[in-house]
Amino acid sequence: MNNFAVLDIAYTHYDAGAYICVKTNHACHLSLYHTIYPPGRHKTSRIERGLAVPWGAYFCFVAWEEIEQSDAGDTIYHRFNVLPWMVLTTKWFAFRGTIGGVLSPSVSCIFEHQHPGGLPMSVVLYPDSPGDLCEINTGVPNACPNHYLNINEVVPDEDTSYIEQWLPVFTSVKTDLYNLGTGTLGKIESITLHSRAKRIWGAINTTLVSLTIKTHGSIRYYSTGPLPLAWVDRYRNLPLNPITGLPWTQTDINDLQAGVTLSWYTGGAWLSKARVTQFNLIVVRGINCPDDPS
Amino acid sequence: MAKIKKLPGLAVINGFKGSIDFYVCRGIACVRKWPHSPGHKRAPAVEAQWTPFTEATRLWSMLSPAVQDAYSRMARGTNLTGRDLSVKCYLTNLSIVRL
Repeated sequence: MNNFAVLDIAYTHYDAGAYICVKTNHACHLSLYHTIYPPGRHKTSRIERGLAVPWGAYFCFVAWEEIEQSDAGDTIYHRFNVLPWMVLTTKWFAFRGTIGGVLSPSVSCIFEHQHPGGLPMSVVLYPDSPGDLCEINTGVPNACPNHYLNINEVVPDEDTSYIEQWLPVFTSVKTDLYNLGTGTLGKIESITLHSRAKRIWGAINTTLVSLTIKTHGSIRYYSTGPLPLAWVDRYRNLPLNPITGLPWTQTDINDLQAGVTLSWYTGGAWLSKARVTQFNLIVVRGINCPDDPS
Repeated sequence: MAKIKKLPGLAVINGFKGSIDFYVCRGIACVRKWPHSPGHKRAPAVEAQWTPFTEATRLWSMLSPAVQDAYSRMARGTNLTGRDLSVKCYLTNLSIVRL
């Protein structure tokens, strides 16, 4: 069998372009041909018993560009990164391909699609309102419940605005949670928690920052180790929702609260202090394909 | 098959329908015995097309609405339906989409 048909198509729009994913009925290796010009339609006729009668049409692509699928070999799902693709512009495209290295006689229909706009493939979400917990005892310049205003800057302002906590006893564990701004993210590949923090008082290994999330009603803490005296960025990548064990969904992100936990850490002096100047959540968007769970 | 100088009038052509077939091949008027189906005695090349053709005719119901719409849009203004075009695109691309 050397033929293929495109059964379904899915789009993932981002600010500068779009990913297109198509599903075919047979494994094959496709190339996408796209153009910003409407394909020319040419009517054809055929001679039927001596008379020329209208028959069909063929379509000419002009000024087209070719993109090979990003997946290696013959596949059922085929991904293409169409870049650049300006927002609110229309492209026309069709697919041809090979099966086992041999050019297939098949071609897809011509698709017409306008880019509606979209978020970048990597989106940084910043705290935009208080969450369920505001336990960290100092906020500069904003006190509880508005701690989120101290740590939501795009560029860290270090000691200008921050939250900080004295950690006087072994059991000191203090958490702030924040709601985060969202948008239409579509499929989500992973999320990464990020904070920028430091120890400002106390011996080495006395303060600990944990990145914290609350999802589906449960809180999870991810220790990133003791803090040094200099500012340090700490990250924790979560490809799956730890409660569901499944990829993150738009609903998960809409309901998610995230923040930081400052706590005393083993060893050193009994008294210490930690400070956080920036917190955010990095969402890496995935490429939608036909048959993906919505 | 025989070459003739000129096709007769449409009334004559229609009068011989079922026994004699008049047609034009590469600009030459021809006449032949009315063609009949050879049944299952087909050339290997023709038989090789049976499976793809069967598959092509069954594909339409497997296509998503977005793909069906794209075929239907292509078929507008022609004598073909979207389904016709999907069969033609599946079997051969040369006469449909030209790059």
